[in-house]
Amino acid sequence: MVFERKELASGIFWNAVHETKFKSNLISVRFVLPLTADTAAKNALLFPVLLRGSEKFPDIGSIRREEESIYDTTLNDSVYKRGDTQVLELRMSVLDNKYAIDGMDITERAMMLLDDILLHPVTENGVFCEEYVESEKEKLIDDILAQVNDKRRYAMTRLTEEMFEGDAFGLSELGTVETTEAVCPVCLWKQYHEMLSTARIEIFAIGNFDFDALSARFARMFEGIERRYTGAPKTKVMQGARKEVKTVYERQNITQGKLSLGFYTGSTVYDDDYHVMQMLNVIFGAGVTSKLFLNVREKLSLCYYCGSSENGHKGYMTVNSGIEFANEKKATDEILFQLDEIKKGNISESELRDARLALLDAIGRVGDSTGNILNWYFAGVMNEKLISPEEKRELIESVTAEDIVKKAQDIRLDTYYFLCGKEGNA
Amino acid sequence: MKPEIIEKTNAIGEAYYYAKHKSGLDIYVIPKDFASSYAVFATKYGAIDNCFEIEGEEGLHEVPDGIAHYLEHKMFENEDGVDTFSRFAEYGANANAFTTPTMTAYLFSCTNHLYENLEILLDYVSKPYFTPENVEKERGIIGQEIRMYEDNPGSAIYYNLLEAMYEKHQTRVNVAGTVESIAKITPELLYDCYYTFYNFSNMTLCISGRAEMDKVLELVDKILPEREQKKIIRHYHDEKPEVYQKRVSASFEVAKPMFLIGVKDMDIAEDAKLRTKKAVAMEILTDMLFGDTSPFAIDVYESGLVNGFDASCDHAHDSSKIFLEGECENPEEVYDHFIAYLDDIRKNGLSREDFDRVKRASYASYIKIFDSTRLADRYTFMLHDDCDPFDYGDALKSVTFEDVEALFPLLFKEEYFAMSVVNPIAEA
Repeated sequence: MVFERKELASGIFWNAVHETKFKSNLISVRFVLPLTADTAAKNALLFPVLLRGSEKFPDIGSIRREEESIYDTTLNDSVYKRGDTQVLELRMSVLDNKYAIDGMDITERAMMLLDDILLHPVTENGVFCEEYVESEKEKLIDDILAQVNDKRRYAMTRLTEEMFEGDAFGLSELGTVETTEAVCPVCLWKQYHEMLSTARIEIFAIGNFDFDALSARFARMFEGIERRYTGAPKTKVMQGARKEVKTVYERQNITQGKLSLGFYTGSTVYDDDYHVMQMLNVIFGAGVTSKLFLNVREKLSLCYYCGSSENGHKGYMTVNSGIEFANEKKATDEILFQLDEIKKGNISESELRDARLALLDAIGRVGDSTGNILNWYFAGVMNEKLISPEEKRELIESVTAEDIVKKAQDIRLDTYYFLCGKEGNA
Repeated sequence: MKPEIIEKTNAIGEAYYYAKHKSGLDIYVIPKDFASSYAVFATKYGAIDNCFEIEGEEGLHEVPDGIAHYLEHKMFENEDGVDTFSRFAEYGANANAFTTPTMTAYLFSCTNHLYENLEILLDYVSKPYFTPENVEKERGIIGQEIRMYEDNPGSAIYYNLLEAMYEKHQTRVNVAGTVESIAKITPELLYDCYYTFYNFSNMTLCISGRAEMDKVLELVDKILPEREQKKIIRHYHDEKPEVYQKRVSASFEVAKPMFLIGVKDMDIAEDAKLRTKKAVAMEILTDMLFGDTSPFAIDVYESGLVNGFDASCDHAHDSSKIFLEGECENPEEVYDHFIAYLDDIRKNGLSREDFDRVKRASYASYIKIFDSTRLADRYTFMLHDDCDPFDYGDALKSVTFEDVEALFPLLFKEEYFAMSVVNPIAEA
């Protein structure tokens, strides 16, 4: 895997990874913007509205038919939260040209589609079509409201909201019903140009392409855009745990309780020893050999799932579990007890080895899919820690139990959230 | 004696090796240039196999719902007390297992020590160890797994639909069972099911990645115990072609009503090649009618009638069905729209242009499958349906507009349709 990176224009970066073993290649364009209450809903609406129609493909039917015709090259849009930033992505999995049965240059056709969708939207009175904007607003509101449907994810989202209340990270990457309702074609059009001129833009081409031609194609695409880039948006890392734990109970008509605990860790991706926290998380609660799995589930039979995950952008960790309402205290006590075990240094040789091997295994498979490669290098360039999987291996190999115990001393419970039943539920 | 190794290749540069071990086990090795390898050891035994006989033995066995899944959980228990996951962890592998209506699969992926991990896989799956204590311990864990799904409207809408579509056939059985049905599971019942369905002639081993067939065969020889090959007679309850109930609904704490429309198809060929052919035609037809570029999907999107509309189908030896799903204000309105749309197609016919475009897209997505590091999973599903993994690509190449056209009137009859709805709980 050879990684190449260059700046095509102010804040527009080209990233290429050459790899010939895949039958389909990946093109991804990511726009990184600050996450704010005022812009979250607008940003979340941008790609859905762009995907409603462009000059050459004026409605959703013609866009989708073109995608199918060019060997199922779907323009997938997504929006997600990364620290205090909102990332908007357009991604295409492009079949290698050699599999075209009719000699089509699939990559070029895919680029024509991407170019048209991204930069030549259908307009009405010089802004986005009102019909498209209104229709996508309704769908976004449905998506925002539907977050309550999946209880496991809902509990995790609510914990984040409560834990980071008043902080950018506490906002939803979809915005709110109110801010979505307030969006109009004119203000969305303004935000679209704001995105094009100020976002940090990371372009990735992974697989087997004519990279020079492709990077030139992208450079031409963005040529006409006036950039006002002032640097990458920053994330404010968590500075410590609350003095008194914030406790939140929420009631719904459900049969299983969802426990979500948020801990301050103080470890972030910007630290040189971040991999120590990654090891700690694996030992504590990530996976089937972790302390949480072996004790809360296997020993005490309290749940089907109980796991931890850590977030290195903000410097916190969560534990999530689905339990009987009546077992709330038992489960919480055991989770906190297992964390104390790590703090006290009760980490066995085999726990340390298993965690190390699990992380090495994950690093070992980075090159196995274009999606993995994208995530690896995107993290590298965004965190300004661009290292190869090999270098990361060495870091993981070097972690000792003492390093982990030392790190564990910083961890403190910050927010306690329990989604429980209404009175009368079993 | 060394079994014969058969090599098969296809036009897009893929290959696999096959050998039948003397134990009856079918072994497949798919060479891939990935750092990780992926192995699946699976038995043709799932939630629908709750009623069976063994050839040459007396008696019909009727076992509690959810037992195949319970057995999957309990296979991780070992007599020496060592946890299976930690055995894999020692060699850096990621292990897991899953149960479907027709299959129980045990798997791992790893970037190192492939043969050590393979040895563990073969070893633990071939050594059952069930005690009253360890079986009891699992009841709490699986009970919570069932509870988790009970709170999940997506899972409820799905099983409610199956229960509406199928009156008797075991396709309606929930894979995890119910809290009541799993209460009846004992170590004896688990052993009975184990020795019936985990005889190696009822199992497959499939590995994608950096494996060599010779070495795999050596390991299988070394690890698998001698076990009697049994012929299982499975009893599936007779099922009429029409759906059992047209409508079923439930209430959940959701934002908007959800619908899932099912199309039931009881016309399933015995012959695997015929099944593959029909599966391909059915997928293309479903895509033409309800896929992203279909007039139906575009219409419900543009009009705002449905949010998150999706269509899918599956056609295999155990069941055949098409699903349409989404969120909407009024599910009956969507259903009426669906019926009117089909009437329209009946009058005006399907479009040849749509067929060509959808077929090309299906060909592209078929090729993309081979980039997956979990190819062994995909193969195992096809193998358990007695289909050669490469036949699907051939059937895709040869399917015609006429095949698809002929299928339309056979599948889309009002008596084959059912709809499952989840409504928001009315505020008190």
